[in-house]
Amino acid sequence: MTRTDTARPLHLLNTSGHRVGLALFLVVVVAHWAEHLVQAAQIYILNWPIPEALGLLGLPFPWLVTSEWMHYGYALVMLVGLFLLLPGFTGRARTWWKISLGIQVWHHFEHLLLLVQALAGANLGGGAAPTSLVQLLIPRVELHLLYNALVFAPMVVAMLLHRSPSDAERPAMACGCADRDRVEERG
Amino acid sequence: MRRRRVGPFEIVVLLAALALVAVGAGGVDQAVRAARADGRPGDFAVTGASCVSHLGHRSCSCVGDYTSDDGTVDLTGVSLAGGDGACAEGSVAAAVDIGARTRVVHPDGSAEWVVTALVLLAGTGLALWAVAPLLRRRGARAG
Repeated sequence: MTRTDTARPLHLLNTSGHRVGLALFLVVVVAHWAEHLVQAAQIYILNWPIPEALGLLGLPFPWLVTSEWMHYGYALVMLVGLFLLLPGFTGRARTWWKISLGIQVWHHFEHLLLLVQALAGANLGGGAAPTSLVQLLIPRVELHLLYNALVFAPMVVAMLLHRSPSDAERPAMACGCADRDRVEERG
Repeated sequence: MRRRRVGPFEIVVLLAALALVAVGAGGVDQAVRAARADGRPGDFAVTGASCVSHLGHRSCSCVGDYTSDDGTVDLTGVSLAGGDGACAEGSVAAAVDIGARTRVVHPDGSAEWVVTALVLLAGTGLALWAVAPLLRRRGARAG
Protein backbone atom coordinates (compact mmCIF):
# COMPACT_ATOMS: atom_id res chain seq x y z
CA MET A 1 0.00 0.00 0.00
CA THR A 2 1.47 3.39 -0.98
CA ARG A 3 1.58 6.44 1.23
CA THR A 4 -1.09 8.08 -0.92
CA ASP A 5 -3.44 5.10 -0.42
CA THR A 6 -3.23 5.36 3.35
CA ALA A 7 -3.28 9.18 3.45
CA ARG A 8 -6.40 9.55 1.31
CA PRO A 9 -8.98 8.26 3.83
CA LEU A 10 -7.39 10.44 6.50
CA HIS A 11 -7.56 13.43 4.15
CA LEU A 12 -11.24 12.75 3.41
CA LEU A 13 -11.99 12.34 7.12
CA ASN A 14 -10.50 15.75 7.84
CA THR A 15 -12.07 17.60 4.90
CA SER A 16 -15.47 16.62 3.48
CA GLY A 17 -15.99 13.93 6.14
CA HIS A 18 -14.92 15.96 9.18
CA ARG A 19 -18.41 17.04 10.19
CA VAL A 20 -19.82 13.49 9.96
CA GLY A 21 -16.72 12.09 11.68
CA LEU A 22 -17.04 14.52 14.57
CA ALA A 23 -20.78 13.81 14.85
CA LEU A 24 -20.22 10.04 15.05
CA PHE A 25 -17.41 10.50 17.56
CA LEU A 26 -19.65 12.73 19.68
CA VAL A 27 -22.48 10.16 19.56
CA VAL A 28 -20.12 7.47 20.93
CA VAL A 29 -18.83 9.77 23.69
CA VAL A 30 -22.30 11.05 24.70
CA ALA A 31 -23.73 7.49 24.66
CA HIS A 32 -20.94 6.44 27.05
CA TRP A 33 -21.77 9.32 29.40
CA ALA A 34 -25.50 8.54 29.12
CA GLU A 35 -24.88 4.94 30.16
CA HIS A 36 -22.98 6.13 33.23
CA LEU A 37 -25.80 8.54 34.10
CA VAL A 38 -28.45 5.83 33.70
CA GLN A 39 -26.40 3.52 35.93
CA ALA A 40 -26.10 6.23 38.59
CA ALA A 41 -29.85 6.98 38.35
CA GLN A 42 -30.64 3.27 38.77
CA ILE A 43 -28.61 3.25 42.00
CA TYR A 44 -29.40 6.64 43.53
CA ILE A 45 -32.91 7.47 42.24
CA LEU A 46 -34.53 4.10 41.51
CA ASN A 47 -32.78 2.41 44.48
CA TRP A 48 -31.66 -0.68 42.51
CA PRO A 49 -29.05 -2.92 44.19
CA ILE A 50 -25.60 -1.97 42.81
CA PRO A 51 -24.86 -5.35 41.14
CA GLU A 52 -28.15 -5.05 39.19
CA ALA A 53 -27.56 -1.46 38.07
CA LEU A 54 -25.97 -2.10 34.67
CA GLY A 55 -27.19 0.90 32.67
CA LEU A 56 -29.45 0.41 29.61
CA LEU A 57 -27.31 -1.74 27.33
CA GLY A 58 -25.87 -3.61 30.31
CA LEU A 59 -29.27 -5.13 31.13
CA PRO A 60 -29.50 -7.29 27.98
CA PHE A 61 -25.70 -7.45 27.57
CA PRO A 62 -24.08 -7.57 31.05
CA TRP A 63 -20.65 -8.33 29.55
CA LEU A 64 -20.59 -4.74 28.24
CA VAL A 65 -20.17 -3.55 31.83
CA THR A 66 -17.96 -6.32 33.15
CA SER A 67 -15.67 -6.87 30.16
CA GLU A 68 -12.13 -5.58 30.62
CA TRP A 69 -11.73 -5.34 26.85
CA MET A 70 -14.86 -3.20 26.46
CA HIS A 71 -13.55 -0.86 29.15
CA TYR A 72 -10.13 -0.55 27.55
CA GLY A 73 -11.67 -0.52 24.05
CA TYR A 74 -13.58 2.66 24.79
CA ALA A 75 -10.41 4.39 25.98
CA LEU A 76 -8.70 3.24 22.78
CA VAL A 77 -11.56 4.51 20.58
CA MET A 78 -11.22 7.88 22.32
CA LEU A 79 -7.48 8.01 21.67
CA VAL A 80 -7.74 6.96 18.01
CA GLY A 81 -10.68 9.30 17.34
CA LEU A 82 -8.94 12.29 18.91
CA PHE A 83 -5.79 11.53 16.92
CA LEU A 84 -7.46 10.90 13.54
CA LEU A 85 -9.73 13.96 13.70
CA LEU A 86 -6.97 16.39 14.81
CA PRO A 87 -5.76 17.54 11.32
CA GLY A 88 -9.20 19.02 10.55
CA PHE A 89 -8.92 21.51 13.42
CA THR A 90 -7.39 24.95 13.15
CA GLY A 91 -6.66 27.89 15.47
CA ARG A 92 -8.02 27.87 19.02
CA ALA A 93 -10.10 24.75 18.39
CA ARG A 94 -6.91 22.85 17.48
CA THR A 95 -5.25 23.92 20.74
CA TRP A 96 -8.20 22.63 22.82
CA TRP A 97 -8.39 19.39 20.81
CA LYS A 98 -4.66 18.87 21.46
CA ILE A 99 -5.21 19.38 25.20
CA SER A 100 -7.89 16.68 25.12
CA LEU A 101 -5.60 14.39 23.09
CA GLY A 102 -2.71 15.03 25.51
CA ILE A 103 -4.80 14.00 28.53
CA GLN A 104 -5.99 10.87 26.74
CA VAL A 105 -2.39 9.99 25.80
CA TRP A 106 -1.47 10.29 29.50
CA HIS A 107 -4.48 8.12 30.40
CA HIS A 108 -3.10 5.45 28.06
CA PHE A 109 0.36 5.76 29.51
CA GLU A 110 -1.21 4.98 32.89
CA HIS A 111 -2.96 1.95 31.38
CA LEU A 112 0.38 0.78 29.99
CA LEU A 113 1.97 1.17 33.43
CA LEU A 114 -0.80 -0.94 34.95
CA LEU A 115 -0.41 -3.61 32.29
CA VAL A 116 3.37 -3.76 32.80
CA GLN A 117 2.90 -4.10 36.57
CA ALA A 118 0.33 -6.87 36.08
CA LEU A 119 2.62 -8.71 33.66
CA ALA A 120 5.80 -8.22 35.73
CA GLY A 121 4.13 -9.05 39.07
CA ALA A 122 5.80 -6.03 40.72
CA ASN A 123 3.72 -3.01 41.69
CA LEU A 124 4.53 0.70 41.96
CA GLY A 125 5.21 1.86 45.53
CA GLY A 126 5.29 -1.77 46.69
CA GLY A 127 1.50 -1.87 46.65
CA ALA A 128 -0.62 -5.02 46.85
CA ALA A 129 -2.28 -4.23 43.50
CA PRO A 130 -1.16 -2.51 40.28
CA THR A 131 -1.24 1.26 40.85
CA SER A 132 -1.21 4.19 38.41
CA LEU A 133 0.88 7.33 39.03
CA VAL A 134 -2.20 9.48 39.71
CA GLN A 135 -3.53 6.87 42.15
CA LEU A 136 -0.33 7.34 44.20
CA LEU A 137 -1.30 11.02 44.60
CA ILE A 138 -5.09 10.72 44.74
CA PRO A 139 -6.08 7.40 46.26
CA ARG A 140 -9.65 6.12 46.14
CA VAL A 141 -10.85 8.32 43.34
CA GLU A 142 -13.18 7.10 40.61
CA LEU A 143 -10.45 7.72 38.07
CA HIS A 144 -12.45 6.43 35.12
CA LEU A 145 -15.02 9.23 35.41
CA LEU A 146 -12.36 11.81 36.31
CA TYR A 147 -10.31 11.03 33.20
CA ASN A 148 -13.37 10.98 30.97
CA ALA A 149 -14.49 14.36 32.30
CA LEU A 150 -10.98 15.81 31.84
CA VAL A 151 -10.88 14.60 28.22
CA PHE A 152 -14.51 15.51 27.45
CA ALA A 153 -14.43 19.16 28.61
CA PRO A 154 -11.65 20.44 26.27
CA MET A 155 -13.08 18.27 23.49
CA VAL A 156 -16.44 20.06 23.72
CA VAL A 157 -14.72 23.48 23.83
CA ALA A 158 -12.77 22.51 20.68
CA MET A 159 -15.94 21.40 18.87
CA LEU A 160 -17.80 24.61 19.77
CA LEU A 161 -14.89 26.80 18.63
CA HIS A 162 -14.57 24.71 15.46
CA ARG A 163 -18.24 25.29 14.59
CA SER A 164 -17.93 29.05 15.18
CA PRO A 165 -14.46 30.04 13.96
CA SER A 166 -13.18 33.61 13.97
CA ASP A 167 -12.70 35.42 10.66
CA ALA A 168 -8.98 34.72 10.91
CA GLU A 169 -9.49 30.98 11.52
CA ARG A 170 -12.16 30.33 8.89
CA PRO A 171 -9.93 30.54 5.73
CA ALA A 172 -7.61 27.85 7.14
CA MET A 173 -10.47 25.35 7.56
CA ALA A 174 -10.64 22.61 4.94
CA CYS A 175 -13.90 21.09 6.22
CA GLY A 176 -17.51 22.25 6.09
CA CYS A 177 -18.06 22.14 9.85
CA ALA A 178 -18.81 25.88 10.08
CA ASP A 179 -20.73 26.15 6.79
CA ARG A 180 -24.14 26.02 8.43
CA ASP A 181 -23.39 29.28 10.28
CA ARG A 182 -22.30 30.86 7.03
CA VAL A 183 -25.52 29.85 5.23
CA GLU A 184 -27.67 31.16 8.08
CA GLU A 185 -25.73 34.45 8.12
CA ARG A 186 -26.33 34.84 4.37
CA GLY A 187 -30.00 33.84 4.70
CA MET B 1 -30.33 24.82 5.02
CA ARG B 2 -33.73 23.25 5.77
CA ARG B 3 -35.23 24.20 9.14
CA ARG B 4 -35.94 21.34 11.52
CA ARG B 5 -39.59 20.51 12.22
CA VAL B 6 -41.25 18.59 15.01
CA GLY B 7 -41.50 15.10 13.48
CA PRO B 8 -41.81 11.53 14.82
CA PHE B 9 -38.18 11.54 16.01
CA GLU B 10 -38.68 14.75 17.98
CA ILE B 11 -41.84 13.30 19.56
CA VAL B 12 -39.98 10.14 20.65
CA VAL B 13 -37.20 12.33 22.10
CA LEU B 14 -39.81 14.47 23.87
CA LEU B 15 -41.45 11.39 25.43
CA ALA B 16 -38.05 10.06 26.56
CA ALA B 17 -37.21 13.51 27.95
CA LEU B 18 -40.48 13.67 29.89
CA ALA B 19 -39.75 10.20 31.29
CA LEU B 20 -36.33 11.44 32.44
CA VAL B 21 -37.89 14.51 34.07
CA ALA B 22 -40.47 12.31 35.80
CA VAL B 23 -37.75 9.96 37.13
CA GLY B 24 -35.62 12.91 38.24
CA ALA B 25 -38.51 14.73 39.88
CA GLY B 26 -39.45 11.55 41.72
CA GLY B 27 -35.98 11.47 43.24
CA VAL B 28 -35.79 15.08 44.42
CA ASP B 29 -37.30 14.42 47.86
CA GLN B 30 -34.94 11.49 48.52
CA ALA B 31 -31.92 13.45 47.21
CA VAL B 32 -32.66 16.33 49.61
CA ARG B 33 -33.04 13.91 52.52
CA ALA B 34 -29.75 12.21 51.55
CA ALA B 35 -27.91 15.53 51.29
CA ARG B 36 -29.18 16.62 54.73
CA ALA B 37 -28.94 13.12 56.25
CA ASP B 38 -32.54 13.63 57.24
CA GLY B 39 -34.00 10.36 58.57
CA ARG B 40 -33.87 7.70 61.25
CA PRO B 41 -30.44 7.55 62.98
CA GLY B 42 -28.86 4.18 63.71
CA ASP B 43 -25.78 1.96 63.40
CA PHE B 44 -24.25 0.41 60.31
CA ALA B 45 -22.24 -2.78 60.84
CA VAL B 46 -19.83 -3.34 57.95
CA THR B 47 -19.94 -6.84 56.42
CA GLY B 48 -17.84 -6.19 53.32
CA ALA B 49 -17.34 -4.11 50.21
CA SER B 50 -18.97 -4.39 46.80
CA CYS B 51 -16.48 -3.31 44.17
CA VAL B 52 -16.46 -2.70 40.44
CA SER B 53 -12.85 -2.86 39.37
CA HIS B 54 -11.03 -2.69 36.11
CA LEU B 55 -7.28 -2.58 35.89
CA GLY B 56 -6.51 0.67 37.70
CA HIS B 57 -10.10 1.86 38.07
CA ARG B 58 -11.78 0.66 41.22
CA SER B 59 -15.01 1.89 42.75
CA CYS B 60 -16.25 0.30 45.98
CA SER B 61 -19.38 0.60 48.07
CA CYS B 62 -19.42 -0.33 51.72
CA VAL B 63 -22.01 -3.06 52.41
CA GLY B 64 -23.45 -3.94 55.81
CA ASP B 65 -26.44 -4.24 58.11
CA TYR B 66 -28.28 -1.26 59.57
CA THR B 67 -30.25 -1.10 62.82
CA SER B 68 -32.06 2.06 63.85
CA ASP B 69 -31.40 3.46 67.35
CA ASP B 70 -35.04 2.88 68.34
CA GLY B 71 -34.80 -0.74 67.13
CA THR B 72 -37.77 -0.45 64.77
CA VAL B 73 -35.86 -0.78 61.48
CA ASP B 74 -33.46 -3.55 60.44
CA LEU B 75 -31.95 -3.49 56.97
CA THR B 76 -29.56 -6.23 55.82
CA GLY B 77 -27.13 -6.06 52.92
CA VAL B 78 -27.54 -2.33 52.32
CA SER B 79 -24.78 0.01 51.17
CA LEU B 80 -23.50 3.11 52.97
CA ALA B 81 -23.53 6.29 50.85
CA GLY B 82 -21.31 9.29 51.68
CA GLY B 83 -18.63 9.54 54.33
CA ASP B 84 -14.87 9.16 53.95
CA GLY B 85 -15.00 5.67 52.47
CA ALA B 86 -13.74 3.88 55.61
CA CYS B 87 -15.00 0.32 55.31
CA ALA B 88 -13.23 -2.03 57.73
CA GLU B 89 -15.11 -5.32 57.94
CA GLY B 90 -16.65 -5.77 61.40
CA SER B 91 -16.56 -2.08 62.27
CA VAL B 92 -19.71 -0.19 63.24
CA ALA B 93 -20.43 3.36 62.10
CA ALA B 94 -23.26 5.83 62.58
CA ALA B 95 -25.71 5.98 59.68
CA VAL B 96 -29.10 7.43 58.81
CA ASP B 97 -32.02 5.61 57.15
CA ILE B 98 -33.50 8.04 54.60
CA GLY B 99 -36.14 5.56 53.40
CA ALA B 100 -34.18 4.08 50.47
CA ARG B 101 -34.48 0.28 50.46
CA THR B 102 -30.94 -0.40 49.19
CA ARG B 103 -28.81 2.04 51.18
CA VAL B 104 -28.39 4.25 54.25
CA VAL B 105 -26.33 7.44 54.35
CA HIS B 106 -23.46 8.76 56.43
CA PRO B 107 -24.47 11.37 59.09
CA ASP B 108 -22.60 14.01 57.02
CA GLY B 109 -24.98 13.35 54.12
CA SER B 110 -24.45 12.10 50.59
CA ALA B 111 -23.92 14.03 47.35
CA GLU B 112 -26.26 11.86 45.30
CA TRP B 113 -28.35 14.96 44.52
CA VAL B 114 -25.81 15.51 41.72
CA VAL B 115 -27.24 12.48 39.88
CA THR B 116 -30.82 13.71 40.33
CA ALA B 117 -29.83 17.18 39.10
CA LEU B 118 -28.07 15.74 36.03
CA VAL B 119 -31.08 13.57 35.14
CA LEU B 120 -33.40 16.59 35.44
CA LEU B 121 -30.98 18.70 33.40
CA ALA B 122 -30.69 16.05 30.67
CA GLY B 123 -34.48 15.63 30.51
CA THR B 124 -35.12 19.37 30.36
CA GLY B 125 -32.40 19.90 27.74
CA LEU B 126 -33.73 17.12 25.49
CA ALA B 127 -37.33 18.36 25.86
CA LEU B 128 -36.30 21.91 24.92
CA TRP B 129 -34.38 20.57 21.89
CA ALA B 130 -37.44 18.59 20.77
CA VAL B 131 -39.84 21.54 20.96
CA ALA B 132 -37.32 24.20 19.85
CA PRO B 133 -38.81 24.44 16.28
CA LEU B 134 -42.23 25.21 17.78
CA LEU B 135 -40.75 27.80 20.15
CA ARG B 136 -38.78 29.39 17.30
CA ARG B 137 -41.87 29.59 15.08
CA ARG B 138 -43.84 31.13 17.94
CA GLY B 139 -41.05 33.64 18.58
CA ALA B 140 -40.88 34.54 14.89
CA ARG B 141 -44.66 35.10 14.79
CA ALA B 142 -44.55 37.28 17.93
CA GLY B 143 -41.56 39.22 16.56
